[in-house]
Amino acid sequence: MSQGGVSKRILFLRRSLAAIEARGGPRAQLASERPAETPSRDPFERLLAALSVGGLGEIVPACPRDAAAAAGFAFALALRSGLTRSRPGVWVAEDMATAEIGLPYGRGLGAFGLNPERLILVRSRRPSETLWALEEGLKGRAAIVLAETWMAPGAYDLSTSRRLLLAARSGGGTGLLLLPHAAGAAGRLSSAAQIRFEVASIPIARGGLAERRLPLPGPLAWRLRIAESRAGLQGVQSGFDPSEWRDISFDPEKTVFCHAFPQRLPAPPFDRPDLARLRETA
Amino acid sequence: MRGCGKPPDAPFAVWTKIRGGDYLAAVDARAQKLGLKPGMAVADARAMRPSLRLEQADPQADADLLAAIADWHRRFTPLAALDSPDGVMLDVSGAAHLFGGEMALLDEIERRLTDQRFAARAALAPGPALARALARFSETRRIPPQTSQGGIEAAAARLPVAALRLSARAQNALIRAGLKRIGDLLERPRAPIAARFGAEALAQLDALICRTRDPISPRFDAPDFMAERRFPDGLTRIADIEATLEMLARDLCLLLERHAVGARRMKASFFRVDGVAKHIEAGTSRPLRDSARLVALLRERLAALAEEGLDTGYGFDVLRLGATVVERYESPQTALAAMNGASAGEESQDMADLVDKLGARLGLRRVLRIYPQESHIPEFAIAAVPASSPPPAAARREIQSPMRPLRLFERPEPIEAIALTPDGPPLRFRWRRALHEIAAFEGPERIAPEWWDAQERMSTRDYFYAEDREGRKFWLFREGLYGRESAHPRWFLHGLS
Repeated sequence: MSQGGVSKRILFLRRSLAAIEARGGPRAQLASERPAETPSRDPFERLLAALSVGGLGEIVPACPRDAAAAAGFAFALALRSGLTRSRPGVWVAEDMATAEIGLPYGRGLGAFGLNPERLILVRSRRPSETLWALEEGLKGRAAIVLAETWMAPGAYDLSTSRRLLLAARSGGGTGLLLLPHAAGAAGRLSSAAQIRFEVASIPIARGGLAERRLPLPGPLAWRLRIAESRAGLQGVQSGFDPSEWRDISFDPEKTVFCHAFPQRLPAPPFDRPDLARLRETA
Repeated sequence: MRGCGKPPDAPFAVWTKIRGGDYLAAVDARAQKLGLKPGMAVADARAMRPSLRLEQADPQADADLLAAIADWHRRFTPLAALDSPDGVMLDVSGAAHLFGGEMALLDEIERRLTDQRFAARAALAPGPALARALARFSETRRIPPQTSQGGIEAAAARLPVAALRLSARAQNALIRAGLKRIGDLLERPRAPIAARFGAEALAQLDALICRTRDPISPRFDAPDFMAERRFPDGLTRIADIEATLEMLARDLCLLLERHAVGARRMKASFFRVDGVAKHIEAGTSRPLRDSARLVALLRERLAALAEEGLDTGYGFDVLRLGATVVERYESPQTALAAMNGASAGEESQDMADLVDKLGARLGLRRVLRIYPQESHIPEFAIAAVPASSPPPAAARREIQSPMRPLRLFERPEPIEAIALTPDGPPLRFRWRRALHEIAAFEGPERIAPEWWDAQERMSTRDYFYAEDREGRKFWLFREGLYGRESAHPRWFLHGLS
């Protein structure tokens, strides 16, 4: 058989594997436990929904100073996944990353509608511990495991990420790995992760109160691109252009991402809803 | 003293400085034979024996070594205490028969210490003071516990008065009075002895003849429940050690079940053939009595230890697993839970297992849950509590607060900020060498220290939530009220989002 025939056959096998994984595989049963959500028309939303069942994603800041913005995006993804007291999320913060961008702050998380009691905060010392905690958290059926590691991009490779992906599939949760040390290297990483976001911060156009000299800060918003997305993510076409940057902002009340149009004025501080409480009663 | 392994035949001594002079602190057997003794001036000793090898005494190293020896002795009994500066005291009540009797136990202790190149003498007596005296001043090695008071006194009578732990002055006074043996003291009336040599002498005497029995204070508390295995040869393979731990965990769980308790904290001790003891500890977030889970936790700790290199050396010959902290734990009702299938309770069980597993490897203080607290001070408005411990008293009232960042630095980072007016909002600031131009801000939010707290510790802070030109959001504060608390308020960056 010719060389071309072999590669064609492998290509065919790969495709059928991806199709099997997308339809059923180990995740099918877990997925069926969840209430069927009406599929969103927005491919981006569908991608995120697919990621939330047994997926592994990576988030890389576009430049070192955007590390906090990337962490904020990861937090928004965690908020979407709906944490409960009995199935909390795990946030793994490595000491080095903590020194760089600080610890998750319970009051701030609460202000965006995440009850911090639904989060287990794990503080690791080394990248190896971070990866181990991420893997154990995924295997232990946490809803979402968010790990921030100050690992050199060279140390993170295909086999490591493959392990994490398998752990995520067996547990049915989402693994998110934040790699602030790999800032700007999103295109050069090679891993088995299903999706990789490159995140930068953007100033969102905003109106100010007339008498103020400077306007009020806007809502959380990011400029991001999907640097890598694999086929087989529950039938979502990987039709994303890796060079396309999109501006999105996060609406903490509806927990959805929306396009970062200059759509609403930030309310003055005394006139804001208490988001956490609204979510509690809902 | 540990004999030197490759030493020349020269006598050896260590010296120490006492009141400006150098004196011998301890001598080895060879030096002793040559007539040197502790307390001699170094110059005299050198003059007598020019070949004498000298080292400066290191009391800390001695204490560490003694502690290690005491630790090693826990292989015989969990109750091992230090008897500084040169002894170890063991409470072997009910343990001697495991080693084939009291004499056999003494022989084994001496033999094993000799193997480690320590010169040691062991003695056994009904009371700690008597055992101590026997080991140092007598050929008798053992006075059985069932000996009558008369028998004990007869045995003690032959000891020199140095066997009492008295000050050098009191001891000299005794000798000068012609009282050389304990027997001399015993046959005299007690009142004059107390009057002349102090109540301390009598107390020591009573302790020596076991009329009063002081408890020893063990270096480590003995666990309430423990299981152990001994092997004639050391275990070197990790797989063997894990298999043994499994057996021990099963034994331990039986014990725990009989007492209706569950382990909250356990400790596995490994005693190496050559006298090194290693301990690993693991805690749990709820009382646990399932041997498989206990082993899983210990395995995590063992794996963490193996990463640093678990030196098995010639092998571990005693393995012990103890539950150091236990809590009441009734058997869970299994039948109903099984019927309900994957209930919410099972999910939280999963989480408890996860917390235990993470805590076993990383340390319990690194697996945290965050709880809101009643405080306006940002650092104290939340409490991070180990996830394995019960939640703290909840904040009774949710404090409504304005904008808070998603991330907070453990220590506010000093920045150089420029404001238009000393008490106005910042215009631009420099953080980690990068300049940020502020494009939008909200504030100030003034947070003053609590009035009942010490005023000097913290001054009033004015917080600003600011966004720079690139859209990055910062939470800054100015410390100190301009003009009232400080002439040059300093700026800090406290959070990011």
